[in-house]
Amino acid sequence: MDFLAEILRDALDYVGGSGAELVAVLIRTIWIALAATLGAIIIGVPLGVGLGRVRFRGRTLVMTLVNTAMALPPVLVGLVLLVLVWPTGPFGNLDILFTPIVMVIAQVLLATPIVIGLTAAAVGALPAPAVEFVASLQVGVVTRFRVYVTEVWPQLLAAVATGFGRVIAEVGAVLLVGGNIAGETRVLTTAIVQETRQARFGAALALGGVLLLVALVTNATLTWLQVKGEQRG
Amino acid sequence: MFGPNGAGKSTLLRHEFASRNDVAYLPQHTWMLRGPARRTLTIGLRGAEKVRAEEWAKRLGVADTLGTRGRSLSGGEQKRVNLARVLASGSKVLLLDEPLAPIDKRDRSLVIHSIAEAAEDRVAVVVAHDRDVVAMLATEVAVLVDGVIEQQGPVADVMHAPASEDVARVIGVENVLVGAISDVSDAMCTVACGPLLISARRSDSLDIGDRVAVLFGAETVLVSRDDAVSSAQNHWGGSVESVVRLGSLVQLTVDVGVPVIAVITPAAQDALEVEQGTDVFVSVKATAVRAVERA
Repeated sequence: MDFLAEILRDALDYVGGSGAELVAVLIRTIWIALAATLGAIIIGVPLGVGLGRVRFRGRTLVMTLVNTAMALPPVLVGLVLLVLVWPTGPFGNLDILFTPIVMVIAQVLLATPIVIGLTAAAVGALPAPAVEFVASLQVGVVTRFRVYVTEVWPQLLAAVATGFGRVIAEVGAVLLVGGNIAGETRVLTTAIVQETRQARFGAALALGGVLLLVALVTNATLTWLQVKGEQRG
Repeated sequence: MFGPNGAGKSTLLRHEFASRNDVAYLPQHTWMLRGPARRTLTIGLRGAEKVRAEEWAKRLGVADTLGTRGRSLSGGEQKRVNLARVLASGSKVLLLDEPLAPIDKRDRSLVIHSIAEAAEDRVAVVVAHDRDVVAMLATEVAVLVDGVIEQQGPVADVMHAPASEDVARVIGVENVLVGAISDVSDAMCTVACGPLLISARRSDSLDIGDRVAVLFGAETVLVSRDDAVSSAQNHWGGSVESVVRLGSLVQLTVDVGVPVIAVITPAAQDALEVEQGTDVFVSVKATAVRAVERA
């Protein structure tokens, strides 16, 4: 019990004593996760709508690959990316190793299949009258895309929430390609790993609590938007 | 386009829509987009089409609903919003799949007149289940049975002279009796249907011995209480098997050896004092009866 009490005391001390550093890590975590989620939305939603609606040869294979990619091991993604952007690797000249940019790329790779897969499932599950109605509108691709997106809006927000959850809680890939450099690439998850390795469990727990709070606030916002969307339906 | 459920009317219309340009299509099942009804009405429309859509919505009596959530509207209102959008189209061909399906009786006339007006200078292909709708709206009708157009032509011709037993059943000719031709003379023939000998019109291809269906509508059957002499070649006595009120009319089924269906007005029912079990005579002019080759 003394051990647990000590950890909790350490956690409170950490939150109270590392204000500026904690805020910097928090802001970096949020912007990297938001940037990655935005990237996943930009790439994933159009592809998901297309996959959900367009029938083509090999569609089942593509869907299988997307579904598999939804469960990509983050460490593997991080490792492959590390090799690619390593100074002597094929994209080494980009000089982005151990920068937030490559961390965003890693997280986009992890979140995009989730957004594609869940969007495709939502659009593919639209009832036949909805699909026939959209076809009967005789509008361009952009308007049709807009219609599909608004028709599956609540499910799309769920996809975004799942993608965001995936990237904000992810540690394997960002640790490998970001390097957990203090003041540069350290984010909440890598900081937790760092503190745990040094047996500073109180600090690690405090960081975990902050991470949980970020996830809670973000998901509460997305859930609110989802409910509003359903009510507006 | 007229036919029973599953006859392939919607499939045919959908195929037409997919294979032609410059057609406007109203699917059978309505759909409202998320948000206000106006979004469903005008999405993707611009300029004159948008203005026309609002005008059609007004004419169809749904202008007041456009600000409310589309999915909260009644089925009939949703259909009219969908229809307004299609009628506003500049397309030369309108494909309308059951535009009156969920419309209240009160609004049917409004919708029928709107479609007729919109189709004045273009072609409208309308799928309908209701014979009255066809009679009010169509100039030509095609009767579909099992994916095949069985008969096509001016409405009066098809309604009064169904070319086959299937067509007769589809368009609602109430009396379809089966028998064999026992005699022919010129354009007429005599058909033995059970205990009855029925005089009917025939086509040239029919001859003695052929199995035929004898068709005549309930509205062509005259009901009387006495065995008066008339010009009707078909005149049989029997007893009333059932009396059913159908809206403003009364349908009688009279057992004359085979069941014959007649429709009369409630006033006629009172005057004849007809009820179940009453003995009556039924007459049908031979020219109103048509013999068609048995399917």
